[in-house]
Amino acid sequence: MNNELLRQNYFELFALKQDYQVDKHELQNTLRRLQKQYHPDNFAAEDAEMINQALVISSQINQAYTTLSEPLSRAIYLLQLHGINIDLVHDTKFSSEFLMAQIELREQIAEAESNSDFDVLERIEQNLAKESSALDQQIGELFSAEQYQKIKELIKQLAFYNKLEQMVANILSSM
Amino acid sequence: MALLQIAEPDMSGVPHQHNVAIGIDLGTTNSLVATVKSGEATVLCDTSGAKLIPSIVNYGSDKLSVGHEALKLRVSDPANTLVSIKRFMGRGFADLDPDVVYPYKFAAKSESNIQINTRQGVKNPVAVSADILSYLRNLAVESLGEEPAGVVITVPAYFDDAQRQATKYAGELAGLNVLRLLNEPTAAAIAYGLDNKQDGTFLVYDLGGGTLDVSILRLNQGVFEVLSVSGDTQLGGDDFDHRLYCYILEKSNLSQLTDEDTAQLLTRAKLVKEQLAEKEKVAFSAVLSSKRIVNLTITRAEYETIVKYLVQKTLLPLKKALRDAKLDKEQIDEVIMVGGSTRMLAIRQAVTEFFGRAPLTSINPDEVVAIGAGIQADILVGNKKDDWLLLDVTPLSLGVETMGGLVEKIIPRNSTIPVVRAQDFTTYKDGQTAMSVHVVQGERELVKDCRSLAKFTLRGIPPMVAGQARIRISYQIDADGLLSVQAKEMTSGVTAHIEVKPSYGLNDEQIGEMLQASISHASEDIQQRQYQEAIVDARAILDSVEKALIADADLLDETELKQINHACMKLKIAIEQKPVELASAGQKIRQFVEDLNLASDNFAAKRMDKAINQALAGKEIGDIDN
Repeated sequence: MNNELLRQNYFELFALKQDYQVDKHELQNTLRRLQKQYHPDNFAAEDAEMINQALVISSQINQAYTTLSEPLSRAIYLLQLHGINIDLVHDTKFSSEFLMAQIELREQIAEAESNSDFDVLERIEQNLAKESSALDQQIGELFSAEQYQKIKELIKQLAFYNKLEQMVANILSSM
Repeated sequence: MALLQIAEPDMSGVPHQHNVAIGIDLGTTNSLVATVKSGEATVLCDTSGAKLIPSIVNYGSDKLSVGHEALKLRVSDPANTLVSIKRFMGRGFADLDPDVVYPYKFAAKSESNIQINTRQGVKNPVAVSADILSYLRNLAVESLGEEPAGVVITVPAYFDDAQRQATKYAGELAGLNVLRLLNEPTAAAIAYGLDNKQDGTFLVYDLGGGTLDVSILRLNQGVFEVLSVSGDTQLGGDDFDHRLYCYILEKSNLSQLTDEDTAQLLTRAKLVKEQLAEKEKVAFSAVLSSKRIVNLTITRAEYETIVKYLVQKTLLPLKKALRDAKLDKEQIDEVIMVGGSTRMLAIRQAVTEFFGRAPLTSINPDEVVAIGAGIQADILVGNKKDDWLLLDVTPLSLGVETMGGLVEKIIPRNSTIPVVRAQDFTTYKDGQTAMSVHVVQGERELVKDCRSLAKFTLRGIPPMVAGQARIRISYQIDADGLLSVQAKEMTSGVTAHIEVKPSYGLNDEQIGEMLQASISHASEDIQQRQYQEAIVDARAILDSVEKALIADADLLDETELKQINHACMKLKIAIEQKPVELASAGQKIRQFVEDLNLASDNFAAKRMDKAINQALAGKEIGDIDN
């Protein structure tokens, strides 16, 4: 595979300024415009090689969209472009304060789950969303201030909250 | 030798040809074929004028019957009359509901797939589906007067990879050029959405014979995005029939029925259910093989009580789909009802109550999926240059087994497809040279709770200290929702590399047998068809390569151009020759097509690059203007 499109970073691909703040609306519009050009269905009448190329490019466009549309993945990606990599799996150093809060949250969730308490779970879900959006805000500010090392810590915390949100969503949708 | 071949005048001067494409709704209970004729999507009728073809195959002692013919034999020959076979697609014996009594003689109780003994030998669900699809294909040929150039087959959105693979394979076995598998709810939304051309958010509630599908889609600026899908692969109209059948047994104190009686009562129960959509009460009577007469009157209220649990169960996926799409039910602009089972008043009421609005039912719920598939097929085959596109999602998460029987998700459910995701893994032992990769599908955290799709071993990892090797496992889902997996060792210069396609619950031997069977059935017929298809394919590729050469020959160096021209010549000569023996002639053409494909691979890549560069250049200029 050797073409310009695949060499571009996600921001370039979506013709966006390389910045943490992205306009979701614009992102969606660009997704539609790009997929209208490169989705394999546009090449259904062409040969297999052409379709395959389209498949790769179209997948890349989807990947870029997914990465840029979620705060967590966008932050990780943008940080990477600034040369800072995050290893969410192995880098598990947190302040004991944060860890305690996490354990407490998990206990609350487990309790609500065993009581099948829909309302409590929904309230927890809302609180988690609030925490996440506060972190989102702070991360944005730190990117503007170019304080990349500080962002790393916040990203790790955001990952925690996202995981909990996912967990609560799964419990709620299976109730 | 001429460096460039110029197309003959009559070849280049042909006006744009209309290709016939069909959409097939391969349903659990009934199947339909639709096509777009002069801009209008219509469902095709069989010779008796019927549009709904029962998805039933009877393997008789001397003949094969499909559809209405087979339906007539259901009561007299239940063991050889296979119904609702779609429920078995890509499934193993262990997946069957132990509470349901089937009148079939199951062959081996195999884990990985279901096999049924019939008078015409052992049949598996793929072969049976292929027989249904062949029948539909003939129906289309008779009705349209020509072989369809391509087909779109619909599948429940909730079908997993094994079920999709099985469906696609059945289509190929039936000699169809499967352009695309399309999710049924998406097809329905296409049928409605493109009618109105209105942006909005649609929820499709599709209750068929065997499955329930719920999809939420958004139509915006000509792009159909699937926001979420949910459903229940083991819940459908058949369950309502079965519930009613059990109720009839209970009320009449019946037990230990013969297979014939079971089939008869099930058919009658289904009829009663359908009549209750119109009437307040229905009289039920049947004469059993023991001459015992069963007489019963069933009221709608009675029926609604016994199926209340099932109706409620259908609402769960609605909530899940809304949740996944991050929408409230107030944000749904239209609710679309699909599937014959949505004629049930209890269902319509429950959905109306849930959304506080009446659902759309203006297109016949039995036909709407086939119509959508027909429209999509027409677009894919190139008849309509619509500025309209479908972005689908994958219904189930895909992952890989890690230490301790845990699942590491690689592609989460509801990811827009096509999609590629990769994740790096490492060895856990010093000097480890092989790694076993187990591909699973499902939402649960333990491997044993998910569906196993494929297992393969990556060998040839250079010996290293534990944790040093970097093995990249990448998952690719194409636009049909089909998965392929690669594993690659990254750290060393040596890269071992393997690619798997998950099986559809069939082993190689069984696939071989099926192919053998399909060939020996009508060997001559099949050879003729394969030869014809080879010619059609050959003409298509020649045509596209020649057009490409006219446009972009300058992208090639002399050697490449020579190779392509040579491959073209060989193929042209091969298709002009009168075949001595069909099978070998067809094979030869296929081989030459393959050669030409190979020779022009790089050409295609270069052209793609060029097209993209042009597109980008265009975009930049546009941006400056803005």
